[in-house]
Amino acid sequence: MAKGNPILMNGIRHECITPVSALDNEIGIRSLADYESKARYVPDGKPGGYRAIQHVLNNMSPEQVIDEVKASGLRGKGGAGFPTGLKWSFVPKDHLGPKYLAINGDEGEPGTFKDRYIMEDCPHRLIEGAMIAMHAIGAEQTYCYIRGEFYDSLRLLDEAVKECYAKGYLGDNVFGTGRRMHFQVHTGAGAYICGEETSMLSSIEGSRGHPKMKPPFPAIEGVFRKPTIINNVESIACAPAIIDAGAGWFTARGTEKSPGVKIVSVSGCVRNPGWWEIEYGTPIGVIVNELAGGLLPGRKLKGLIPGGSSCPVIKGEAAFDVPFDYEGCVAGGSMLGSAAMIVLDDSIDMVGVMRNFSKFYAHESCGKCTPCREGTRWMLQIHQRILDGGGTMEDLDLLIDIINGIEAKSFCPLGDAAAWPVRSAVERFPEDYIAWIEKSSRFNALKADGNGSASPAGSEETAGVEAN
Amino acid sequence: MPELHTRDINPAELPKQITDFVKGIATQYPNTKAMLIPTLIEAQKYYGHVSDEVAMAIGRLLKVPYGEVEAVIDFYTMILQKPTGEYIVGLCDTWNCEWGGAAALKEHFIAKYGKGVGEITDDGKFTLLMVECLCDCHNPPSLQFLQRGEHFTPTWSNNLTVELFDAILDDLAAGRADALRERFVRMERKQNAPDDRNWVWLVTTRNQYPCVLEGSGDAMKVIDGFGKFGDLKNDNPALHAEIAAAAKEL
Repeated sequence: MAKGNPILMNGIRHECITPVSALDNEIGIRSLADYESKARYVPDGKPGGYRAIQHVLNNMSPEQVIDEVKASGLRGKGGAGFPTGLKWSFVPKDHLGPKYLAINGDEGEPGTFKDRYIMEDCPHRLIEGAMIAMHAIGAEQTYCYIRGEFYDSLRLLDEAVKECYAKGYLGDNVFGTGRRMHFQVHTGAGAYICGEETSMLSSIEGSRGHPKMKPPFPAIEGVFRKPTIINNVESIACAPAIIDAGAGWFTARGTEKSPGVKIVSVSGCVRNPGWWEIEYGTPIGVIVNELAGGLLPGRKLKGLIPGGSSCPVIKGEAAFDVPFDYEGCVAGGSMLGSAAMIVLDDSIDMVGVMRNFSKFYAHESCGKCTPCREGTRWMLQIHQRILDGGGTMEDLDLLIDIINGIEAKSFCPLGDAAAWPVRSAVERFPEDYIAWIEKSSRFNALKADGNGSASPAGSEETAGVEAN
Repeated sequence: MPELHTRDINPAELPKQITDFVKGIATQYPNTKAMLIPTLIEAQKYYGHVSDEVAMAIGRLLKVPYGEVEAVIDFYTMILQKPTGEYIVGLCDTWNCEWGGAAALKEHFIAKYGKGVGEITDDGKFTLLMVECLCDCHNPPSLQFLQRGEHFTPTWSNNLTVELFDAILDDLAAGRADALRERFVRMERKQNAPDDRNWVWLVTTRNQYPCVLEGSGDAMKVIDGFGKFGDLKNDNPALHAEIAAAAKEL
């Protein structure tokens, strides 16, 4: 990590570690005039607002755009990391009738706060990206689904869209080329499940946010039963920079399998929490200690969740050495997810954290399938019982048993998201659970009767076996 | 304050905000049902809740059967069915905010007004709601004040202490215009500052910022990382004074 290159720190350029931001120079640019006149980061340094889309409309076929995005290796930023270019190529080319682009701005994962800053601070970059994507997939309409609580994002993006309509950048004759491109900001109404792609489509259609069966995949039959491509806000916002600067500019950053840059949001027990756009592969220790100001004075790292509350907790300071990319996080025992880093220091009780996460998922489960609807509630009840002083050693096995019943058996990924962090906590931090259980009256009464069957060491072993 | 309807209402009688909103977005959708959720949210903003009568009228306006409207209202947590106070106080208690002290704010509200979650305070001003993650996790505890009505006004109020929360509630109840202004919470030297300037980490009721302070006292300039302050000394003199006072002690 060479020093001396600029990095974006909460909107200010810092001479710090290596990352070069695609968002650079664009934070705080809300008006169309500013966006057009100021330079984004491009090799030749020319001012660039809406330059990429005009280049695309005049000189590039949809296939060329898709090839360029494929070559850049851009991966979806919403959590799964699916290659964006490949996704765009799934839309049937011979389809007659409307196709749609749906942008997922239903940012709801605990710990995540990245999309809102794109929508609030550089909304035009998102609109330009959406236009490039619409050209690539042959769509004429974008729905940008934003969670209802983001009143500022909704308002600022809507104002930016109106500016574009007024100037003829959006509408029935985009930049005088005769192409139709429409962009509609669509509000959600407070349901985390609508961040799941098919639930989001249900919600746009005006129904309860229940996930739909796949196949047919949304690229074949999505919103209003028409081919639909769904991308995260951040993925779409990368498109103008890729077109402008070329795929090579993007692949020069990050790692081989995770090229480019990513916004990471750091929260929890750090001195300067916030968000930064970093290169993939930056060690987590650099992000926490250099960007987020390190841990609070006198504290030690207990665990770290790299990708939001849905991801397993990495134990101890080994987390600092994990490179922050898709492969590195998996090797480190977790996932990159939405790059929402939650830092937990040694003052934190893992049972309390997991009770809270279970409460979140129990509240947000849509109720469509039984494993998730019932399982999340049981996990909450067991955590609550342990914290209320009624836990027994068997509760650890019971939790793993319930997790086995949710994981990979629920209808959509929400069940997995609820189960993974709890499994990691039970397996990697059993001492936290045992400390509560040993204080519990129920455990001690059972022990006095000679029934306190599972010893602490025993249940730890069982937990490990069940996991395999 | 908007009138609360207690009888069957004709869609044409819905407030102009709602009917205009529907007219404005109608061309963007292939059918009217797709507009249901955004329209219900508009009604929620206007009335503070969506009564059965309003739900029925919106159903007629969009030609969606009443049963489907109710199904949607029932599913989404932002659409409330019971009346609320003038301000909805949406307090997040997912982990970061729980860690940041959301429980203390909740207890304080309940003790101050003797009203639980979802109830209206006696002066009709507030309804406390516990909400799941607001995705402002770097500013715990995070809450939103949502003022219903013709000019719906949402305001973030983050990083709150019990004292600040209490002061904001009192100022709002007294009708002070600047009750929801950005307030100072705390400040420390910025860790790993990029250069030799006077970098501080400023925590306010809106956000946490890296800031550079130049000069001191009344002439102090605050250059913030988000570029959102503008002319702080004129726009929010109280916050400017609070930062200047804290800078002296730093």
